[in-house]
Amino acid sequence: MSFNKALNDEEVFSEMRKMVAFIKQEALEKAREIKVKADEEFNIEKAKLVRQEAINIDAAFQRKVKQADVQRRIAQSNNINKSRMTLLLTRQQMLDDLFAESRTQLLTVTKDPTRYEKFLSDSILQAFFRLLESEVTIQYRKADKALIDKLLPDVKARYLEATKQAIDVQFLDDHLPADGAGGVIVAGNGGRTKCNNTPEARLAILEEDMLPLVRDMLFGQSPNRRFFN
Amino acid sequence: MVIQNKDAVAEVPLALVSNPYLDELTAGLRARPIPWEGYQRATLITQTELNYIKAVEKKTGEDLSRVVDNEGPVYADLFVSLLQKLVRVDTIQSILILIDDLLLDHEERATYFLDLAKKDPSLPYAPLLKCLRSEDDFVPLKASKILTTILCASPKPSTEAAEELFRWTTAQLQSNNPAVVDLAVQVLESVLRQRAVRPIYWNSPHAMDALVKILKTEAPTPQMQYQVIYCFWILTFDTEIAQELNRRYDVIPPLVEIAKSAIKEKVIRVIISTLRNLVEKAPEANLAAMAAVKLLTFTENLSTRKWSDGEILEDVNYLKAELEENFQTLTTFEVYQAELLSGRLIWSPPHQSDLFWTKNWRELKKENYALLRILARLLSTASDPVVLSVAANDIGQYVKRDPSSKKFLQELGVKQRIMELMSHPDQDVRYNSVNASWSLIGGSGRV
Repeated sequence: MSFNKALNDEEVFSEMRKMVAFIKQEALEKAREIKVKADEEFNIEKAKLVRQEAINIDAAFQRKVKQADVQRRIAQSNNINKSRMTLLLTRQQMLDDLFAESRTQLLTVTKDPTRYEKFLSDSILQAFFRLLESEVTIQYRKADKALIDKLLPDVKARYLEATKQAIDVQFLDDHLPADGAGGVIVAGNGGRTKCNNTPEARLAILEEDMLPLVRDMLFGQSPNRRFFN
Repeated sequence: MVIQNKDAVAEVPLALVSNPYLDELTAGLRARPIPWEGYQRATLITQTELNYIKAVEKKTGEDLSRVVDNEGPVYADLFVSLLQKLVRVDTIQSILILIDDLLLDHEERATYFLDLAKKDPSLPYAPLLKCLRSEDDFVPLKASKILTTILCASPKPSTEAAEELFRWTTAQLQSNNPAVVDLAVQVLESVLRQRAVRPIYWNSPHAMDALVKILKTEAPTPQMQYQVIYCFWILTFDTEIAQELNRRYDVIPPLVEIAKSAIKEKVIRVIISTLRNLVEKAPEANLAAMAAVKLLTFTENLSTRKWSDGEILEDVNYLKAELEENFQTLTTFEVYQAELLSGRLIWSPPHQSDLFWTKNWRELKKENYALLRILARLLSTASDPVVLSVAANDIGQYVKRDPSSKKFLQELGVKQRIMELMSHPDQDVRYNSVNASWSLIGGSGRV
């Protein structure tokens, strides 16, 4: 393009078009650079966010898993406790039934005269031996009075032979209930020390002391038990 | 749903290929008439196909949109199937022109082509890739432009298509016709925007070589420099590439050289952006090399200049800050090593500093004399007198501290070489090799 002659319209337009095209090209190139840079930064940011959220989700999931696990364990523990309780209650029920049955059986046993006679004389003597007093009082069923009168001399003699001491026996008016199983309550030391030798009281002691044996007979040994001596 | 914002600025096109040579060829071919009716009579195409072609032939812009917008998929299918079945070069040329017109300014229409994959997974790429192999001048060029648009528009670009396209571009980059080289680079500029294809290009045989060669040996125009370096810039967004680029192709020194002498701002702009990426994505790999070419000084210089583009200053300051921060921690040895590995030995401080050698000579011994061997190789193969002088000096310095290596050096042929260099035309080379051979023989002190 020479500056000597004036340009005609066509040349002017042509130059302008070239310049416009050039500027447009430069602008597009810069715009493209900006776009590329923006895209890359977006991708980095997106990747970062995704990674962060993935970590968060993982953490939340772990927490939920742990929570579920804890709840499962609590439920399991509760269930175990509940079933233990049921087991214990059932066993207790069985024992209660057993002892109730025994108490009723007691009454029939004491109806046998020969056995009851032996029992009465032995139990009075046993009570005397327990107390080792010189003066005692004795409580009994009203219906047993005749029997006791008959047996008492022999009992006293046996006591004397064993301990070389005499014993004085007072009869109390306070009788044992007639529907009881019999037996005696012997008291010494001014009524302060009592030996209750009725079948009911003896049964009560047995209920406590025989529990291990009863348990074994009814339920077998505990599967976890290790020591047997 | 597309949200229309009437005030929005037009979106940057995905594929930006504007090549006057190609446009000229296109214009010439457009003018030539094609006897479509004749083909229909010869049953090469059907009547329906003929009608469609006639409807769009010679139309562009608004006219074309009116015809095409309702039946985009039909046209995509039509053009691709014609490409597949017709063989005459002139018809292929015309169809390519028709496709390009279809896509011009309306890149969204590329989706019609991509949808063809549903009916045949090899489409739409197969027939276009076939065109790349054509012997004709025009067909491969035009097909590459269309392929570029389609690859750029695809959410998951086909890796096989990309591979083949890159094989083609690598060949074109070596063409004697600068317009063809220009087109190939523009194709790359656009396609490399797709993140997934960057590693493919990196691994494509000789692809990187072809690009690097343009910068290093062919004295390119500023526009070509810009375009090639732009390709590097996009590639360096990929971390692996950023780590390996300088190691394999030693691009940092030439980039800095070009930046120093560049007149056009956009060339400097894209170089600084590339350097920034290298530092951001792979500092350990690149900072040492940058220190070796005194980039810090250059950035200080750049930061005082007046720029019309604000972002250049941002990138320059970033580079400056990173280089300064690492300047302290970069031991001089790392700089020396970077220099050695790049083969560009110069009279930087370490070479003649006794302190440096006393402290660091063991490093050259490491890994079975790895660095010493490099030094020896440079001594044998370099032609630059400065490099030879520095290498000779370094050998001498080393052997003074490690006399036990003399035998090894003799086996390497270093001693021989140093003797040869004593009669080198360059004075410095002679001086330094005489000194080195003195140390090698076992004398003490310098002459």
